[in-house]
Amino acid sequence: MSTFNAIGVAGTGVTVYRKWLDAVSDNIANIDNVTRTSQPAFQARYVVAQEAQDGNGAQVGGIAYGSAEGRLEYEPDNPMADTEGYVRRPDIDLGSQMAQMIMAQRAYQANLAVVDRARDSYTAAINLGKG
Amino acid sequence: MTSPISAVSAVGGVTGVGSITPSTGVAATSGTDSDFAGMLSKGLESVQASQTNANNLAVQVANGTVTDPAQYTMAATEASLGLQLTMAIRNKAVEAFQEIMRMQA
Repeated sequence: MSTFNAIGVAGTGVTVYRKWLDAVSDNIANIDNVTRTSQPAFQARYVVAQEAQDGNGAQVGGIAYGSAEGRLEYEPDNPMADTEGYVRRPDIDLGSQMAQMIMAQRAYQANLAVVDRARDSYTAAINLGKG
Repeated sequence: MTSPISAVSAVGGVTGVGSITPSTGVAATSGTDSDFAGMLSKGLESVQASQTNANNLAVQVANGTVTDPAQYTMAATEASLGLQLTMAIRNKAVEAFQEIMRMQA
């Protein structure tokens, strides 16, 4: 890719994990959405990570969507409820989303740590020539 | 908000190094990429490209079109390393030149 390849490769990882964090935040933001039973529920977003096409690092290959069926819940007081008293909620587990958020955050930080170490190493190599 | 903007001006100032690129003229006269002049001009071009990239990202961070500030900081790091490497090589070349000049005594 370039002279300082490690930084670019770690940068692709940073981008992938940022998108995962975006997907998780989207899921958590919509976790309490209520829809009528005649409409689809909010579909959870899942980032598909894969090896980059040029072999340098990772990339997001696409977005996979969770179930549009969601869960039917009995809430007759809800203004969105159908004649039998049911509403549709997205089938997203907050615990699982939180765990994913921790994984994405730590991996994001790990990639930035790689950038930091790579910069230190390259600086050391450049300083070697200054003697 | 002020720090990305001040970063813009700093990077913009550095791009003045682009004026050094007339050394591509040297590469044109001496030919292949395998000799020192060719490698030097290729290196300068790549440094120039990374500076331009960092500069563009700085502008985009400042006006909010880049969603990930880490993109800019990494590009700036890369550009700064490239410039440091250029300076190290330049200093070595000047040193070698002066060493040769001292030989005539």
